[in-house]
Amino acid sequence: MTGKEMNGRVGRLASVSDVPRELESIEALVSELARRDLAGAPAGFEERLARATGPMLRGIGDEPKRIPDAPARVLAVISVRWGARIAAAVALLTAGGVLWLAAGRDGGDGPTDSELFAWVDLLEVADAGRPFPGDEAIEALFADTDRFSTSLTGGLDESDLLFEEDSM
Amino acid sequence: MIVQGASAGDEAAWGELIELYGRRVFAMAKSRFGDPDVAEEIAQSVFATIATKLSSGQYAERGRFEAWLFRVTMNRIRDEARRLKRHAHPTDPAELSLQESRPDGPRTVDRGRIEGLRRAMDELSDVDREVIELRHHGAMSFKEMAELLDEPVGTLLARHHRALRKLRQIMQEAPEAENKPEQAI
Repeated sequence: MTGKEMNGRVGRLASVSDVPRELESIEALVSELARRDLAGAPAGFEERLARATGPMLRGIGDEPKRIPDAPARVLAVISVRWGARIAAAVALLTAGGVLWLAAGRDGGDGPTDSELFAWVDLLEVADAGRPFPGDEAIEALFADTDRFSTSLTGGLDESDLLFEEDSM
Repeated sequence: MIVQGASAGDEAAWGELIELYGRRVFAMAKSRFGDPDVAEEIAQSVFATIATKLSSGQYAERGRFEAWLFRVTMNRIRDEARRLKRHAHPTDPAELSLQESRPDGPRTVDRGRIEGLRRAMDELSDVDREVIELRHHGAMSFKEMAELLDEPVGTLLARHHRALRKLRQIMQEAPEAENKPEQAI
């Protein structure tokens, strides 16, 4: 079924009224609400979803990976939620560095996935052969998120990093 | 066929599954939480779980993929609702208005009634809200919902009607005149 056919299905479901006449108006309003929410997915939603989760079909993303012969540049992303899997998947697709995952070391909240997707965009820049974003670009990304202030490059050594058994 | 292809690692088949179900999952989460970022995150979580289980051969429900996917969706939504209850973040009415004001095609329904309906949905019980969202946002038939929820179709029909009545009542009792659902769409 194509997306257009799906929209048609939703429309048909919305228009077939199985409710008493007295409830038709409220049902129509609910259908309109649903139509708006269905239409409200942001631009590129399906593409991002496919890009992030497609590699997981091959078992990628279950644990942090090291890219062989990658530059010894380590960036840590703190996440307490599944969003870290995106980073793991991206690490395999990116030739510019290594992404290690640490889960809630201080018990606080991790980045939102919107922030992680912005992060993914930075990594794709690196993957395209352009210079890997410098610390300034990365710190600017999280500039208003002080939970990352001690988490990025420069202040990490291996003792700061969690390993495979701690991955999400 | 598409599910089998995705299970075998076919990313084109996976893309088709996302095309079929992605927005429905998003819409259910958006309806519950009002925030498109949260909704996208939940959708990603759902599909990450599905992909992981498909790749590890844990999916064995031949012919019941849709029920399984929406079960995972409902669990994620419930998890997030519980998490938010622990860290309450009330929706800013101004933000809600801003979301409704974004152009999304011809507007045949007054924005105020849509906002009123969102508030009314928040007052439904979880059980009633789920049947509304599965039916309208998830675009599920009552037969599909019966399979998902393991309840008779008649029960779900009655619950759906009851939920609609409650929504109508809540909106009628709301102080703003524009919340009245009977004003013609």
